[in-house]
Amino acid sequence: MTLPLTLPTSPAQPSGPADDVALASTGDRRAFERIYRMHVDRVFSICCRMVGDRAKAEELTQDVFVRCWEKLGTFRGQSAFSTWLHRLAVNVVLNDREAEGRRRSKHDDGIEDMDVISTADVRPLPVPGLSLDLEAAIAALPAGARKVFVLHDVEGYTHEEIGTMLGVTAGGCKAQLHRARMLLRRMLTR
Amino acid sequence: MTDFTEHDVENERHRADCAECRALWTELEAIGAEAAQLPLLTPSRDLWSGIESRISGAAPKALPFYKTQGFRLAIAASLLVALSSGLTWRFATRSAETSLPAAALVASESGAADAVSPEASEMHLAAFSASVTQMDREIATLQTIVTERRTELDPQTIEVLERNLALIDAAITEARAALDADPASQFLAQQFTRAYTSKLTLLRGAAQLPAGI
Repeated sequence: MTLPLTLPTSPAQPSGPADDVALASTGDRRAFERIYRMHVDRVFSICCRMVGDRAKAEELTQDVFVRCWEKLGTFRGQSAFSTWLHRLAVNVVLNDREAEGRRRSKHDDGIEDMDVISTADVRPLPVPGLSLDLEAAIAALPAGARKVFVLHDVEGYTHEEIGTMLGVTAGGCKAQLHRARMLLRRMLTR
Repeated sequence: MTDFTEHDVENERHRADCAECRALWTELEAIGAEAAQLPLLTPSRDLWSGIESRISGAAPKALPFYKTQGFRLAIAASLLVALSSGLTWRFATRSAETSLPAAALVASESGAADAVSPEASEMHLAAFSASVTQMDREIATLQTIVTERRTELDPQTIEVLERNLALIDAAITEARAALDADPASQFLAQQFTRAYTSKLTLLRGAAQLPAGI
């Protein structure tokens, strides 16, 4: 027996993502589930790469969609919904990191630690001595470098946008990106 | 070598001369390019049930009224109405003082200015013309607002509004034509003024109608 690859849809269902956003903003949870299914991988990818921890990323992905549901009525359609949602995901991650940083008062989680490029900053490798694939290497980056690298090189935000999100200058962001790439190069070629 | 950042002009110049730095730069750019091609990741489990349990019983927050398009249009309409009310008053006051400005304006536009007293015409024409031009602009703006609000208003309201606007436009055209023929007529000038004012009043009302009416 083969399972259907897609869920059956009835003719009465809305025709596109824009309809689903409009329906969900009025409280239609089925429409919101369709939005979730359409965007969950992208949101999870952002969360996972920014925090470098799959379990934490799953928690954050849920937080993002709950926050999205709460704020859906304020989506004005001035940008694409996906752009709005991804920015929301970045904000949820950054706010969580900020709150966690305050709780732990850790110094190595901030963006200020950009002057020294040393593998001492890098998290313990899953398999010491072996080179990593890029995904694992990103996860091993220090938090500040990882955030900037993911936002710039993976998600395509500009230095100015990242600077605004993180409260740093575009120049500081560039320096952090360079640091991240240098660390990745070191990890990938060892 | 580790101090340079991208888009730095000096570093770009340096890379042109330094093979080692150029090679490093290429490697770093390649890492960035590879990162941009990373595939999407999928959660290890379906997260929907957890999300659904957290959102059940709570509806999305509505956009605050002050941020809605309807509110912005209403504010624009109110400001315009306040402004145009003052101008209409000036327009009506001047027309009451003498019918000649209206006649002069219409006559001058239609090429029959020589039928009006030149002294009276010179005295009022400039100010009157400015008022009418201003009102024309306001009518155009109000019409834009009403057009933008078409989807908010009841179709029957739109139909009545359009029918009345057509009647008023016909009256304006008729009064203008009659003034062309008799520029000194106080009665015709008043009819012209009245029709113009009616159009403004109707558009103002439509611009401020609550949605759904």
